[in-house]
Amino acid sequence: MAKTILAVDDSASIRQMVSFTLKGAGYEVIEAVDGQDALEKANQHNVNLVLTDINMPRMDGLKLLELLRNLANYKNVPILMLTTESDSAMKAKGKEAGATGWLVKPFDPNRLLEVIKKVIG
Amino acid sequence: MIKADVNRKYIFLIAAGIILIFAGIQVFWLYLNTVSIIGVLSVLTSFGLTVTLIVLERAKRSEIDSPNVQSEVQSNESTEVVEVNEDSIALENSEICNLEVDEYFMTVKEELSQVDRLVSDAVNNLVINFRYISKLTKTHHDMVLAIERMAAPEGSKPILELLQKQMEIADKIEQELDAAVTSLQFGDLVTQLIAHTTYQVETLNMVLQRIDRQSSLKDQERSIEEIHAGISKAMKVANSKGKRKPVVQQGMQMGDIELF
Repeated sequence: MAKTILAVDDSASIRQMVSFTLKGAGYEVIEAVDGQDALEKANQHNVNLVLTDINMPRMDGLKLLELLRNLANYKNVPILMLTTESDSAMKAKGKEAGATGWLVKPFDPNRLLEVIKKVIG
Repeated sequence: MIKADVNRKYIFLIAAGIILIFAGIQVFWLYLNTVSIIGVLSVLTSFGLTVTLIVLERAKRSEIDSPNVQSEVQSNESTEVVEVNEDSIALENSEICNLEVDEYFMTVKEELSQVDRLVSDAVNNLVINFRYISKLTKTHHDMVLAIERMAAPEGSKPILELLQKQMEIADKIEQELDAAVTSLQFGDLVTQLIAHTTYQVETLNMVLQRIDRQSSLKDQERSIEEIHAGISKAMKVANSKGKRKPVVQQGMQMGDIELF
């Protein structure tokens, strides 16, 4: 059974590129447009990995990370941050909030798949 | 305000005229018994003066009512009125200047928004093209594999070689598509940078206007140094209020990856 990945980004082009990459590798992808949307979808589906942007309207990626980590069924689900932010202070914040990894945009599809395979197999 | 002043003057002159007429009549009665020419002359002079004053004042009123000469008449008013006018002109100029600045910043914002729309439109089109090419490549790839399977039992070497070449081309197209996935993320980076720049421009406009308002209240006449200091202050405040730049990338090379 294909593993499900929740891809969160307010940019439609990024969501499409992430979906294209992940679906091509056999993953099932659920798309969310911001943190709020992601939180609702995370509650509706069984997700194996969350790949989220940081700077988004309504709810940003760090807040989403914090709220997901407070949910019992998302305590151990890998959450990767995929963002333009490369500031070390931001990375530290993400790490502290429980992020599994930090990927700086633009991403390379093959490298992204390598990381995902490493995290969820 | 100015019209009300003129009306008061007009009433005052009419009253003065009436008093003058009464004075003339009294002088006339004083000299009535002697039938002096002085009494008659005083009454006639009173009437004449009153009529002249009224005619002159009417002429002045009609000039004031005319919009073309209103400002000229205003400048002939008392010193106090002139000072008030200068202040209001300065304030009006300041408001016009603020409007122009506001308009300028609005234009900058509109242009940034136009860039954003153009980039988004281009990215959307590129993504559609990308998906279509990707779909065609996959179909082509599947077709080559099917032909290969059909040709295999025959063992036709030239056909198999041709198919092999086709497969190599299909693989190269896929590699290029992967590279395109990285490049097509430029839209997101540009959009974030535009949003950041728009915010900076908005903040600068707001701070400049606030500083200008504060300076206008303090002093109407400012030296060049004070204006420079005002701009410098505006820049500092705008920078301190500005958000951290969300995109530092200078190119479309792949970003770093770190697993915690």
